[in-house]
Amino acid sequence: MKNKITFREFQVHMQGFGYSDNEIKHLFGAVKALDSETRGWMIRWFWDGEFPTKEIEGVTFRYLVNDFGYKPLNAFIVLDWLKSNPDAAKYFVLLKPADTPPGEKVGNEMVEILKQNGRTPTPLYQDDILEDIQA
Amino acid sequence: MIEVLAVVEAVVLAYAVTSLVSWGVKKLLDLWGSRSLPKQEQQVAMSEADMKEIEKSKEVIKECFGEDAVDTLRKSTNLERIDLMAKFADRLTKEYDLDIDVDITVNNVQNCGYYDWEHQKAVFNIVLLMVDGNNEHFDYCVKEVLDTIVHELRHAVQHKAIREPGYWNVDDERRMAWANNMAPGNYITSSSNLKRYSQQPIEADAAVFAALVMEGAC
Repeated sequence: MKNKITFREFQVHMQGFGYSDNEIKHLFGAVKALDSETRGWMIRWFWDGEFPTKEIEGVTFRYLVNDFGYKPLNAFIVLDWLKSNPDAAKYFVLLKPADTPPGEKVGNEMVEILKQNGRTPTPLYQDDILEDIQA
Repeated sequence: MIEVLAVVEAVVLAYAVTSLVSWGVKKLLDLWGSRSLPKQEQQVAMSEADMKEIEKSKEVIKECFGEDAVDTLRKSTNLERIDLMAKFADRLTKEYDLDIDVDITVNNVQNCGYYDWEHQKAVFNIVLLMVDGNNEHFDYCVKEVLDTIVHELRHAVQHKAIREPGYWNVDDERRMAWANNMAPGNYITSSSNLKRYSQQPIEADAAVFAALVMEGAC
């Protein structure tokens, strides 16, 4: 099994899950920020399709994906979060927030407002896409 | 007419009996219980204007539901619950001086509501309140619905504050941080990365504002 993932390999695979280019960049950075155990699970899932079986706070990857409807990468991120900050992770999992991005029209309006205030939009995260995901 | 309403209520109730299972949270509630936003996550500073409105919002909850919102709603019929929530959302919209549309629905979309930035409209799904009042997780249902109403109306406040300097006394740094979060490519959806979703400026602010309103409310 390969123990690293390049951005190009990640991008090709993740496009199949319907992510936008920006989301793929965010997620590439987010996967690299996972703890080494969760990152290892993600790499095995990526190359072999293997589901990790370890329970974190009573839930498994399979439960989050199959029963709770999470996309696989979100499930890895939540498992990692349940390990590092269980109280916060549980609160937001139970919140079940809606997915309502602002849309192009509102986004463009925000850019105009920023410009009127002498600013330009800046990315919230500077995710490095050059460095590979490593086990 | 009464018969028609009774039938509607019966159908809604029949659906509601299973709704916590279909909502997907029953197992997690059995495992984890109902949760509040942890103190260490409440790092977003609230302004004086925010604190004033947080206190007023708590008063609105008391006005609409009495001292114990969970108990009031537990004892209400489904139709009364719908009516109470519509009045609560309307009352808060006026309190926050918002000129937006508000819809109350009962459906199976798997979330309690959202704010539509483009059409300036808040939609609240109160299906969780169709659960039997004796359900062991009824307090979660009430908390989620009330929290969502406050949270989504906070997004409407953010929207108005970005557009109208001076509204709610929001300082420019904060207005611009919210605007930047809504710029193309900068908003992180909960389905792509729940952790980063919760930490971005507009969501962290709305989560803390709603959590402070809900503190001690039910």
